[in-house]
Amino acid sequence: MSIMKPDRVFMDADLEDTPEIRYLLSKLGKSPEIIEDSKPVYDLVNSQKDPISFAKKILYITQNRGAVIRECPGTSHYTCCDYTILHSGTFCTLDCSYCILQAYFHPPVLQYFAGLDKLNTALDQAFSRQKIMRIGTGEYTDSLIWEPVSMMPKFLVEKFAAQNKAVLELKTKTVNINSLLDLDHNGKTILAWSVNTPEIIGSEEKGTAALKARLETAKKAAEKGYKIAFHFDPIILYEGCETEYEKVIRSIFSHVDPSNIVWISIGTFRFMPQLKSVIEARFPKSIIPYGEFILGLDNKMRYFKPLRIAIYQRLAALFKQIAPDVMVYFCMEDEEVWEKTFGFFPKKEGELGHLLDKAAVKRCGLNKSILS
Amino acid sequence: MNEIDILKIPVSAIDMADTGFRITGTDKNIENLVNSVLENGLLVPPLVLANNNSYTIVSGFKRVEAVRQLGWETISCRVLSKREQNDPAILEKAARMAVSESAFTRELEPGELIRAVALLERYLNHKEIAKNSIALFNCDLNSGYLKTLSRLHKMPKQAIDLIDTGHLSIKATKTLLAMDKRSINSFLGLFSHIKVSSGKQIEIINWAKEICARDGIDIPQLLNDTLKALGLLQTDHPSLSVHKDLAARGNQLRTHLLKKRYPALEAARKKAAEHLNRLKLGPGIKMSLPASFESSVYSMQIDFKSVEEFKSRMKKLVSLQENPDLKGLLDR
Repeated sequence: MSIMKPDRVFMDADLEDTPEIRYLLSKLGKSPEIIEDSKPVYDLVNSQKDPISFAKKILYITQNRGAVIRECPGTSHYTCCDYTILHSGTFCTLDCSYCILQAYFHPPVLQYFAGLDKLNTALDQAFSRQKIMRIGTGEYTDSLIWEPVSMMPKFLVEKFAAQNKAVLELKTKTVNINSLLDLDHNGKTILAWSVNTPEIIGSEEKGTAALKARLETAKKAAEKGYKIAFHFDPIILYEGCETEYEKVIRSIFSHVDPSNIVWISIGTFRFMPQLKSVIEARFPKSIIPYGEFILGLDNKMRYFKPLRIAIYQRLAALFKQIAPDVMVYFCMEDEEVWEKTFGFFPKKEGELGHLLDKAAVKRCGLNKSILS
Repeated sequence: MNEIDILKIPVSAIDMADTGFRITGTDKNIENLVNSVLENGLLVPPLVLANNNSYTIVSGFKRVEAVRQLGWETISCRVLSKREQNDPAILEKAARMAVSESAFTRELEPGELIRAVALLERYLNHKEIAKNSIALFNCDLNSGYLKTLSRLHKMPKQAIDLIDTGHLSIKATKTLLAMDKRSINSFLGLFSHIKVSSGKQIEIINWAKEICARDGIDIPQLLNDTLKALGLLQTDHPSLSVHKDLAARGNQLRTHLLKKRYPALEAARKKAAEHLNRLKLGPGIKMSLPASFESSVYSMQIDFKSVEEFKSRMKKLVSLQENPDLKGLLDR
């Protein structure tokens, strides 16, 4: 499995010598190249023939100079879950063919945003609001690729454990939870795994843990009292995939009791049109761009709607049969898809978010009285 | 002798086999030019390079051929002196002149552009050509594009022939570059059977490539099967009488591949079109389906010139609510 072992480490000159930095550098085992600004890193990555592959081997330790906590951008025309992003780093050492980060950053740079103090302040502000929040670090990076080298995951788990208004979701395709297992998490951290069929993991998710390993790790985490989530995203359509995804569902519930699962999201493969040429160039054997895609209303490519609905209906039926109490939801789908799959649609603004907040309150012991 | 002199030289002294400077296509039909020369004389003397005992055409291949066909014994030419045998400086100059003479008279055809670059790169690198492109081509060409043109020149001769005849665009041919020889040859064979716009050529290439990747078959097999299925494989196939129009053949082939590439979407489109036809909306009423059926919103537009027309079309619209085909369209 891919581990955090960069060939070169760059670090901003103005970063203070903190325990966080010392821990990170000691774990990386590399002396950083000190730079005055980000330009040398961007220039170096940009000058490469394959900047994306190259960027996975270059780590840039810097500060987040923008907002630490921000709303998930979502997209127009499709229902968003009103997630909150904790911006802790960018890009990823794993190499999934479908990864949107390949086309999202220009160029992609593997950045670690140091500064637990800043994080602490931002979270204190967030926790001071009378609002249930679902906060995750897995939007612009894999949350736990950093776990073997960084104090941040441990810091976050302990920070969230000390309050009852928000849950932290650490989303990953790794099995990097060793430093978290024995922490006093107080049920406020959800360890979440993106899952896929073994065939897709084998062909499209280079450097990630096998499905079996992910589920074994989820089981271990659940045994330590962590709440768990799963994300079937992206679901890739191929011949026989329905049965294979059903097997994944059965396998999940043979490892983790439904009562420990906060939510499960499902979403078929969708991508910015420009990602197609990136996949073709970097993963010439991949056939995932050649599904029956149409241009969605948000200008992303999506499978033709009846194909999406067909797979969703199969999976939803099985979820209903095995774990009727687990909150299953769509990431970015519209009313027709919701209605035809689940028989209802969270129509009102913020309604899906509210349903997920409720699930978080119920499973993670958040303050019910502030649930709007 | 000056660097360029206008001289009357024997037509028989011109080496017609030496086409080293030729950038125009080998269009056999020069009847119009022959008639023009007969009627008006040779207006612009061809440019030739003097060898020891013969002349090499630099520019004006068709004019010389026209004169030959007219049986002229001598022809006025602009003669570029050859200072020494194979003097690279004079050869480079001739190459530049061969390109500029055509490029400053008219826009070069795609095949001419490819051959012009191939001719110039015997003496200049891409950067030098790019730097001088305004003077050479009467337009700005960057070195990346020049490299592409150079690569296209290395493709099988059939590719350039198809570019010359408008069966293939530069853009479409470029998409073939990364393919293996067999696949390239299969596509060249296919495009010799059809004639469609550049956009459609690219769609055909991409869809075929994607179908093959998805289904694990090779491109020659898919194209061969497609041509066979459509009766386009043998030129003497009886069904060709129905498909003589190259554009019609192209559209037929494109539709065939589209159905293979997007089977569910195309089936839905077909079904919707059938419902729509059966609705018999009549003149002045137009129904628009959501693009790719992603949205659930359908729209109806009516045109009218009078209250009477408005009433009658509204009546037709209202009557549609009971029509099972409207339900068929909406209950998808």
